[in-house]
Amino acid sequence: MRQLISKGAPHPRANSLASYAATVLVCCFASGLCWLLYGRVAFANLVMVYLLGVAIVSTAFGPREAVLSSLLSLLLLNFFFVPPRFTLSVADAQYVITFIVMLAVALLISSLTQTLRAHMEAAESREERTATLLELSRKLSRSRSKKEIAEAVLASVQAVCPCEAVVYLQEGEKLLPILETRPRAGSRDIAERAFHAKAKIKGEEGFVYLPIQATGNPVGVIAVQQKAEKTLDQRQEDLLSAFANQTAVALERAILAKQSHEANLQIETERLRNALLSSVSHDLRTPLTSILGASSSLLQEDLPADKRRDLLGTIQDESGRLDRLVRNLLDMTRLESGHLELRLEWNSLEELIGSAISRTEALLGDRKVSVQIPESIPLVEVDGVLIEQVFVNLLENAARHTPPGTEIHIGASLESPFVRVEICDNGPGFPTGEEDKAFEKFHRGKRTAVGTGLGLTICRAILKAHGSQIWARNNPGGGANIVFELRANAAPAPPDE
Amino acid sequence: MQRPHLPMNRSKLLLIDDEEAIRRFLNAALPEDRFEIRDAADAASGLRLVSNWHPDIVLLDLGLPDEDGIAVTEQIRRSSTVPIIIISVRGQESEKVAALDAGADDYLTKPFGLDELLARIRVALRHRVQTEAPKEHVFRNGDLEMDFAARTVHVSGNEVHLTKNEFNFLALLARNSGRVVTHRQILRAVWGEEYETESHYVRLYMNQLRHKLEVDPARPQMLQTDPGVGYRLKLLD
Repeated sequence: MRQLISKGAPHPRANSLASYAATVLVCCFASGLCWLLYGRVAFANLVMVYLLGVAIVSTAFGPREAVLSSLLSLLLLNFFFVPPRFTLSVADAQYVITFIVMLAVALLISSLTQTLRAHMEAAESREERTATLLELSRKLSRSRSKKEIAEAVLASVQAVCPCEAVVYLQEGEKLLPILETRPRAGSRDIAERAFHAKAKIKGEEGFVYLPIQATGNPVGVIAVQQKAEKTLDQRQEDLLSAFANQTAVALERAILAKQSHEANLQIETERLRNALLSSVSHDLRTPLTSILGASSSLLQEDLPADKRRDLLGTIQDESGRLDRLVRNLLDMTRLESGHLELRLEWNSLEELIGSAISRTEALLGDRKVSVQIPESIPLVEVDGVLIEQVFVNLLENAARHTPPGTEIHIGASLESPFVRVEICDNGPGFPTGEEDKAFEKFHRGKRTAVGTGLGLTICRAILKAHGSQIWARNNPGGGANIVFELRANAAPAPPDE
Repeated sequence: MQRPHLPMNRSKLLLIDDEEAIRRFLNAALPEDRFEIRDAADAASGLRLVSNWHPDIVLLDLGLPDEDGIAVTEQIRRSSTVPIIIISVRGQESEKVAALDAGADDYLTKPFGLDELLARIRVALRHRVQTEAPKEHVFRNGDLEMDFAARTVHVSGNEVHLTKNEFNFLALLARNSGRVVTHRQILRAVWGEEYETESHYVRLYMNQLRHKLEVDPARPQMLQTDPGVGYRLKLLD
């Protein structure tokens, strides 16, 4: 990776004592071979052998070695094989041509090899650059927050060359350093200048400030200082620009995603608010009408005592209903707002159920509720107030949808790693096919027009917040059956007495 | 043990609540022959009345305009042991508990009915009288009989064995019979201050107590839960 953007490196093996020695060795070897072939083959073939040697050296090493090998080959050829042998003079002028051609070939091969190597290096470096960009692109597409994006960019930059870097991102009006490799590296003023100028600025100590921008305005600035040489070369700068560009695209995407999400939230909130308003106006008005009617009668007329008791009883009942309705609406709003923080504590299911039963005593009337929680059921870590509300809503639901005298049973069993709670009755049950619908907002059973239709929805939302689920189904023998599960962890034991 | 009656002369009740509707309701609902009522619409005037009028009982709303109920409770407690009953709305659990831990005696959640209100007031006044009277060493409630000196518990005449912590827990509830006791108060009294946050000890032990003392532990008659707040030993007559 390092070779990628370091300056055009010389061939790794060239210009060393070893390479020159190898060159000499190759020429000697060629000479040796020629010695063996001399007299047996045409002279041209000897030249070929040396040419081969030259070609080998040119490919293996750099231009200097190539020239050395051709010169050395020429000398050796001249001395050992060109008549007069064992002298450095040339009898036939033709051999000059041989020498020139040989030299030319050597240089040509050497230069070709160089070019080839340069092309190869360029191709490799492009490939590595593409790979780096692809890697960064992948990291960025996985990043969600601005911080994650900054981290991805910083990591990619560090992989390219060891450097100090600072990522500045726009926060409101200002440019703030989101991430830096060294505290207070880089200068915010210069970063801001680069940001406003939308152009690269070279700062002090070899820092380069690149604006992070894609199609629109810059969203930040990245400042990079190469640790070793304190300056960046063109290739490094180009790569950084490419990084900055990708980062900008990722940031823009993140911002747009956030806006889109907020728009969706708005729509959903509107929808819920409308449903709530229509529910409230209908459901609250009904009991209010009864209360107003009863109280105005009581004030105006002189009624017998039992009639008065009746009307006062109505006022009390309807007020209780109003209270429950308001409570459900409030619960729903709180749950929907997403600001629900569970206050988890170890609770006893038996206790929560007992509480719920006393709260719904009036509504349950003469329906019998039996509870069976085996001693093996441990304490559960839940928000007690909310889970009690679940039981209250389930009991209210059962009371509302069953005739007086119905039997309701609540039981629990340990099904590791959950505690399974079941509440069932021997009433009419859910209308077939509508078991799941019961949990939808504002869904009311056909037989009843009372209640907001939110009770079961609230149960599901509360259980969902606890990471649990709730199911409704009809008992095979008749009656409704609601099941939910709670996680069963082991509570820490109290100190021994 | 004879239950002490409410004092024959009128009890002085101070209501600190900024809502006129509540003030009207209380003034109308509480019998004039038993209560002399004064009200204050904010914390400042409320506190003045506490120090000048010396009420027998204070009803304090948590949602006052000028100061939060917890601070008011603390201020009252600095100079007076007058029983304080908090009036709160649903969902204010943590404030309720904080006020109780700061020294309030009990609470009522709006909307509440008259009988609930009278029950709470009765308990609060009784405890006030009791702290001024010599302590009895036997507590009886329904089928339960507790002897603090001998440290024994009998249900319908049969002795029930309780561990040391179970007994201390029950004793705390008995001494505060009719009133709520918060989890924190229980932990502090039975296990010590270091265990203030281990609410599951309390639940575990309450479970055990119910299984030992109640006919139907799932539907306790006496050892009642105040969800999110604590426990209350209900007086059975």
